[in-house]
Amino acid sequence: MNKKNLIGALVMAGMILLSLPLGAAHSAKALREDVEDEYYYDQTGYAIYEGLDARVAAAENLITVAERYEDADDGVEDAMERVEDYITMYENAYSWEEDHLERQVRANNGLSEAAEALSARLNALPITDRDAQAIREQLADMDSEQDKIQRSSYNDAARDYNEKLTHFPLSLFRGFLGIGDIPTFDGTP
Amino acid sequence: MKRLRRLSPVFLALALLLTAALPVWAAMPERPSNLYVLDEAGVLSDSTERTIIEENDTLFNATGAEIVVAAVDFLGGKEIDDYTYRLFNDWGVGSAERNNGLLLVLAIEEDNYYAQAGYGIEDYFDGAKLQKLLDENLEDAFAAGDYDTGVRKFFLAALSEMNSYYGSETGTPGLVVQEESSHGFGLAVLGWIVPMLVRVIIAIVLIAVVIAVVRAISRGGGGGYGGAGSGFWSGMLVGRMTSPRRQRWGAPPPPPPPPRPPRSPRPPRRSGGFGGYGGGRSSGGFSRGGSAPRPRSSGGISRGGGGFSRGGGSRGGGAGRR
Repeated sequence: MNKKNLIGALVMAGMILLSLPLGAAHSAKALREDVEDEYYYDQTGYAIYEGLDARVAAAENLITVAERYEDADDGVEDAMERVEDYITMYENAYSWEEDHLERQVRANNGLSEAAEALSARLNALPITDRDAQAIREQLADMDSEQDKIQRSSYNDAARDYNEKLTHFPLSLFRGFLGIGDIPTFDGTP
Repeated sequence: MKRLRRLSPVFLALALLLTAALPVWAAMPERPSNLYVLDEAGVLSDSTERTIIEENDTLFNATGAEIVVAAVDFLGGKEIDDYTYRLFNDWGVGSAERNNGLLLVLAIEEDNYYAQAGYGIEDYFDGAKLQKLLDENLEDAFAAGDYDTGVRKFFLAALSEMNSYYGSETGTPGLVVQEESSHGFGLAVLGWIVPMLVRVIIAIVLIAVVIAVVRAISRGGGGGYGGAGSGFWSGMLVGRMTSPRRQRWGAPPPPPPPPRPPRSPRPPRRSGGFGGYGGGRSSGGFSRGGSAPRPRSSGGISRGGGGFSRGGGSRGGGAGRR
């Protein structure tokens, strides 16, 4: 084989080898975009972000009720702050950021626990029947939205995507290309 | 005989599989023939059942909405929200057009209940509203074991809310169609006639313009094109439009090139290509409770007088006993 052919063969081989990770990255990106589309509009037309917004609104209503009893117990103020922290975490997870979904999942999971803790604190105090009913209704709203979020087809799509990342060729290049799993909102990987 | 002995483990495995699957199949009841109330637990009176059926008939015919009650003893090992979700979508509660069903499930021996709305009305019958309806109408009676009273109160309260939501369709002032119901008959007619008249006038004007243009062309136009040639353009236009054979202007087209000799066949391509990864979207579905909200009505599509067909769906959510 002469020198020119050798160089040509090497260049060709190099391009083929380069096309593997580039193609894998391109495919992964396209698949990820498909999954993220489900976050905005799943197979039933449900938008997870609207459910999350509704949960945050209910949590804020809970804080409004809790403010009436802030002075009655130190624990109420701490519990309120925890809820507010998770609300802020959710609101600061901007969609153009790479890890915004992971942060939203963390915020959403934390919000559930914090809201339950706050309502438990309030129910231990001598609160009015009207406020007790308001707390129950806000928690019911949060649980209702969480149920819909967990049933959204986004979660299945995310799991399918994560499963594909464990197969060749994506499994080979994901570490090198920094391709990570997409989080689910139903607590399963 | 030898063959039978060889196959017996297979039969045994099949039998075990079938018996293992039976509890799952047996867990979800079929939609009752009356469509609106299932009382497996035997806690509802005939009067309450009649009320539920009659009111639902009227409601469905008017709006497509349904308020269905299912009183069972046990949930077959399922969580009540999963059970309600599955039942809702299996039965197709509410109309397929509006997905406006509401299902109340009572699990008597499990001391629990849950209410869920279809996704067409879930914004109105959200978790907070359902919780309020349950707390104000069902909880006290349920806790006292007076299930019939609790269900009746809940049903009537939910019916009142549904009537409020649908307004004039049910003959009561409501929220959804309130704009139409607040106008008088005369205004409604005016609202229909005026746009129609405008369209008719525009159509007449357009037709008149076209007729005027065609007449002007057929008369040869005004002085726009000069004296001697006044009929030239009109004749060309009309001739081209009316002649069955179109005449081309300019030189005739060049003759077609001679046919090329056939190419030698290409060697077959090798399979390969690692750059692409075929990935279609997964079929999706729902992560809990099994079925996706593709509602199925029992016994085929049934239509009400208002032209609605059964088969509504739910996305989940709802409220239950706290």
